Amino acid sequence: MAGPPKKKQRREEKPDGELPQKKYYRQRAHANPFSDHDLTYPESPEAMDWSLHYPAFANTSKGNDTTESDTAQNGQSTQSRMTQQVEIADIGCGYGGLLFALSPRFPNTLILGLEIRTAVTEYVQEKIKALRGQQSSSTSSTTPGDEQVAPPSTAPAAAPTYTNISCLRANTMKFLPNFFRRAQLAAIFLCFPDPHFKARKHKARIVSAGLVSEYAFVLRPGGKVYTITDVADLHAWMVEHLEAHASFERVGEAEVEGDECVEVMRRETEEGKKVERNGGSKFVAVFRRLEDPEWP
Amino acid sequence: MQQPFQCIATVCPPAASSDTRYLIAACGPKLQSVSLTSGDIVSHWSSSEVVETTSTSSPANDNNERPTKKLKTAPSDQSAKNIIKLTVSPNNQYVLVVTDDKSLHVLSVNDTGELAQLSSRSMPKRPCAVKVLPNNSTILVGDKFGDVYSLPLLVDDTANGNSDATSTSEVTAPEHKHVEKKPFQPSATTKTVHTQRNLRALAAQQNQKNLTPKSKEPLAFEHKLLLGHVSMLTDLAYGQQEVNGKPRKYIITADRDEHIRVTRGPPQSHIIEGYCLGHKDFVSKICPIPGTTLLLSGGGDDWIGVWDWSECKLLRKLSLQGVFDTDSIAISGLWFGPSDIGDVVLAASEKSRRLAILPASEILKQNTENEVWSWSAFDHPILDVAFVSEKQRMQAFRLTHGSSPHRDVVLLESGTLNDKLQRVNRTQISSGSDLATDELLYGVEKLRKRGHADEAADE
Repeated sequence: MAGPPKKKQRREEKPDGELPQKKYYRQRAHANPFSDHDLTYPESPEAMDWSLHYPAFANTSKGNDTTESDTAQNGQSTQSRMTQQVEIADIGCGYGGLLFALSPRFPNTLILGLEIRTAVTEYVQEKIKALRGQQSSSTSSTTPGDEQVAPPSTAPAAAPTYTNISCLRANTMKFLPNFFRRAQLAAIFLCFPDPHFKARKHKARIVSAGLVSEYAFVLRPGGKVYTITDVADLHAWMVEHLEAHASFERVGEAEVEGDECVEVMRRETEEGKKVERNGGSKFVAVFRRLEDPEWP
Repeated sequence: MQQPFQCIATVCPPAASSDTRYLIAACGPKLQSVSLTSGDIVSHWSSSEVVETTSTSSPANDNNERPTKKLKTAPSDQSAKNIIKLTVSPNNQYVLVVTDDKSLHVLSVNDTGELAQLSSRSMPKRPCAVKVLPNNSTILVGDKFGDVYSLPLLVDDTANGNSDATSTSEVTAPEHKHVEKKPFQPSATTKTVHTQRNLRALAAQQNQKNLTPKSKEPLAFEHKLLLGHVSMLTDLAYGQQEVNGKPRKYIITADRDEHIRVTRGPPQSHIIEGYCLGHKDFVSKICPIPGTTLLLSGGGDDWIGVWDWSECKLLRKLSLQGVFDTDSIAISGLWFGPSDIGDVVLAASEKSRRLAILPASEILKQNTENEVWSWSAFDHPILDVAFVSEKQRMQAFRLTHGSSPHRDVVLLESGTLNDKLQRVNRTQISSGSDLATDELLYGVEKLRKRGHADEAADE
């Protein structure tokens, strides 16, 4: 009787270039951030090869033959292989609604979604692959066998190419500094995180005194943390912790309302749409990373 | 079944004559102070006595203090708790003891080596690293949940040690205590939960009107949360360097998920300066080299890392291949101290009978193909090492644990005092089963990840 779950088979049956179907990638909405998942993560940010995630932004000026002898050993080489680095991180990106919405708005910024659930990560990766494929096949001349899968594209030249977004599976609560260097990021999104209602589980929340220090570490001064949730208590919790942290100040309401990222976050995240359907409320708070103070 | 000494330290009380040294040794729940001149047991202390003596003197042991949690072991409260950590303050006047009931005890050592308990504080989680800052008035405690707290060494304000306590009272690190006084209201609503089961649970909560939230009561003693890891914290060190003539202080923490984090010291402990990344397996021990910005790190990898923590740079990997006689390497101890060949680095791997030795001069030697580790082989696995910085001779206590009923549990590297210590060793009371002893002595290998199938490892 036992065998691979049907869902996985269905995922594989999908023809190339077609968008993945969410129903085959459902996964329980909670993951224990304290357990040892079977995770893949770089030893350090220098050891991360981003060119696999953003091939369009790989540095091709130096003849980069694929025979890199020891990229992990010599961290410098992997870094210089990119023309730019990831600057926006969506922590807990879920099905990637925010990524796909931000991509065309910041076409020259690398955006990374991080998600702890395997199937969900896979969905986003498949979707990015499919969208990129559709884009390139519609611009380049058709190749044989391509006709049935390529959509009847009438995309204009400025259509989103989705080359600036990617997604990987990670437990950011433990391994954020393995991916990003100090002051690398301009923005971090924390959209509809797991509320962990029970007081006993509060340490599992994505915002805590200790974790806020890590967000401050990877954010550059002036960078922002965007938070949104439909749970009033969690909103109060996140505001309390981020405001209490000396590295952050809350961004005023006028600036928040004028920020297009906030609008995207409200409307385009998958969870945001669900809350909309159910008539829930959405609480937004944005925080700015301050300069580090002088040593005492 | 004789129980070995699991932790040792040496104390040289400042007022005593320069030759007077005492060995502080922990055996199960008992702590002994042994004169190294005579070999006599000067004083002893037990965690079981504490329960009776401090219930009146210390507010930390008040029964209403914390909601009593179900203890996994220990059928009765009166049973003595094993000592899991032992630290001596830089001025050699205080001994800090952590027992496995999450309590931190501060003891004073006087000139004659006598131990007297000053305070006992019950920490929220099991402490796994304890350090006294050079000011001799602040304790840093790292716990299993990844949090690092600073506490005043002395609980009583009337005692000395107030001068530096003020510096930590400027709260910059956020407190995560959540004070709620309003009546209970479920934080979920029908707008936020949708599945049938969740809705049923919510309805049950709403019907239960007078439920008071089970928020944890704050600790009854002064404490400050400095920083937190999500991963399990394993070790903690304190660093200092001078930049433009001004001292800068740092807290260096290591965790089970391969990180070594460098954070500014209080009051700016909310600022992370960097991460020393490069380990492939857990980091269990870090050891700063005094007077430098060098740090040694060891854990589940088959090498010891040499870092410049001020730049978060891995300078060298000191290979341990072939050094230990065990199948896998799990560094259980890393020490730096004097010896007859100058300063040395000592490393012990869990259950290994070898103590690895490397002259400090070798650490920074560049372009050497192989490190010249040497080792001392012993009859039993090494549990702890302490230095008796005496006339340039390295005298390490090996605490061994084996199966022979009449084995030595404390030995000096050089034989001069061993005869005297024999007596100390023999007076040890046998107790505990092999299994319980193993659990007390060997916890490092357990830090290794065993793949995702083993989710139960975390609590």
